Amino acid sequence: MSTVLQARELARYYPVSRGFLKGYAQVRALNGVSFELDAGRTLAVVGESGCGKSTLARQLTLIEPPSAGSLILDGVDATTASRQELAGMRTKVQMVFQNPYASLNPRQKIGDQLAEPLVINTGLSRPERIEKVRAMMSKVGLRPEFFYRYPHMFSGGQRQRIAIARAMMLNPRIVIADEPTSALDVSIQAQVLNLFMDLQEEFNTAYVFISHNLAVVEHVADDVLVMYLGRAVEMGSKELIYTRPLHPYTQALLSATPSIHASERRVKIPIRGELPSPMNPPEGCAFHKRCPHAAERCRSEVPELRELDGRQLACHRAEEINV
Amino acid sequence: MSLQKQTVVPDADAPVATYPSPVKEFWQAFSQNKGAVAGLVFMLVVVFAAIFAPLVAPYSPIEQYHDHLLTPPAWCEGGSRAFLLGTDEAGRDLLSRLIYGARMSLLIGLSSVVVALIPGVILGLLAAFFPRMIGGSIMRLMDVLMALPSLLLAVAIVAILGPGFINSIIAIAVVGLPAYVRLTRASAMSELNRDYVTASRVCGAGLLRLMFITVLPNCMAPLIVHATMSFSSAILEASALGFLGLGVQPPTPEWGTMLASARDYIERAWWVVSLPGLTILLAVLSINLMGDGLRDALDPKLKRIA
Repeated sequence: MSTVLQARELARYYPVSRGFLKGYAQVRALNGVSFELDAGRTLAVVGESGCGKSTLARQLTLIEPPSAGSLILDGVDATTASRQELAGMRTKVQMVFQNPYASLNPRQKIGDQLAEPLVINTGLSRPERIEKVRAMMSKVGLRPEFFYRYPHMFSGGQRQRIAIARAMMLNPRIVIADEPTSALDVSIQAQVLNLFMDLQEEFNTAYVFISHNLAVVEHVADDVLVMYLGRAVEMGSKELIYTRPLHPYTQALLSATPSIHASERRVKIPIRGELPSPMNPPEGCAFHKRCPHAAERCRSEVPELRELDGRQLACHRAEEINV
Repeated sequence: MSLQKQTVVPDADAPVATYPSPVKEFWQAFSQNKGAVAGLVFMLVVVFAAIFAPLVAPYSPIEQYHDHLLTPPAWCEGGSRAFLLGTDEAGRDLLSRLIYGARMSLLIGLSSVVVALIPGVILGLLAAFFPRMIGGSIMRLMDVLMALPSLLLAVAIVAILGPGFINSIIAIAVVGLPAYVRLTRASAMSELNRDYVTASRVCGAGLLRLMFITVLPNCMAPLIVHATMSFSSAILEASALGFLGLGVQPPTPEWGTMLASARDYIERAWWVVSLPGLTILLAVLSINLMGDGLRDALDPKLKRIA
């Protein structure tokens, strides 16, 4: 299997004004995340609000250049690529957004919106484009007469199908999905997720699936990357992470997943406090202020990501905790 | 059973429902609005009269009939059939002057709106797309223009460029420019943060495509309304310039100038003032109605599912 996406120590800092004549502070929204993604696989990125999931999505889709680190898309390094190379890379990575009510242009017909990627990136003639758009529409389950309709005539689920169709138009190697189901009704979520998986089977697309819904992640993911304050805290295959989480943060996250079966319920591990400010991260392990197992070492030394029990983990005390 | 199957499974080869062409679709939406159609009809009549003025107008607009100074309109006491809407203080036929005046007034209104709208939209989009690099300087410049009283600024510009028809259009356009820049920038900035713009960027859309195909159509509503409103103020500002001797020069007929120069006679001869005023009012009203209809017809949200 070929690796299509390789991120190394990807980081993004944003300058934030502290007020008149006070200079700028740096928000480390993304602070060195590394992972690899193979064609046809799904990497789920999970974490609470503000942990840098969406910032990661913005780096991966080349909307913003990363502040540090490297990003290799299908063999080409995006951080050092020329303008022309970057333009070519646009066809390889596409994005599906969270809110289907904002991600479609209200003044453009569905057919025109779906054809836009083709107009920009290919030299196809108009009839060829229409042909391709219609083929894609039937693939995602949209009726052909929707071609001439405007976005406001559709329900949320249909809009998300349109957004997925647009992302798939250029047959990209990678699709970044930023919480694609969180704005939808539960009954529609499953349909949209199944559509994602059907398309993956057909086109062998790699997905980066950003979500805070752990049930959804369990349904779609092959690998899981757990983020906390701009860093990866645990990364490994879904089975491993869901059955035996080792990082205290992952454990707390998973224990918070509700279940209707009493036997499946885990003992809830409460985490107190809130996500610390990325402008002023705590010394040492970013999680130590909320971690029930924090020790002296956690307060002073930043834990590096290391190999443990078949996965990557950033915790000093993983062995001691998980006996 | 077979019937159910037919309805559930969409047939890929089924003929796609036909849709009207964009022009027809636009007209369908536009004609829904009766006021807009009425405005359009009135404007068509005025434009027709303006274009074929020599054929339509009963007299020359500058011919002075000294025996008929300030004749009232035909339906009033002392009026004459020869001068349907009466004559002005110099004995010129009011109807002919209004018909010929439509040429100048519509041209001033239209061209000063266009001359302000196009650069205004482009500057506004640039200011929204590059808020750090050029946005600040564009907006400060517009603030300066806005801070000056509009007529004073127009007079200053005409004084620099010299009096004349074209120069007065430029002056009026410059005065109207900041409003377009501000409107465009404000709505473009709010649209720029929406996901569909990001989606276009991810597809690789270039700057021009983003500006004019993705963002601008979504900013049109306030621009259309403001453009139709400023049409009327352009006519009146042109008349103010003409009154100061800086715009259209007498005896060329022009609605605003007719209105301004006849105000001395308002007590003795109401028609000399009222009729040009009424014409301006009707023209502005119908353009505003048309603008409303245009805005609604271009908004897909108000269209029904075909």
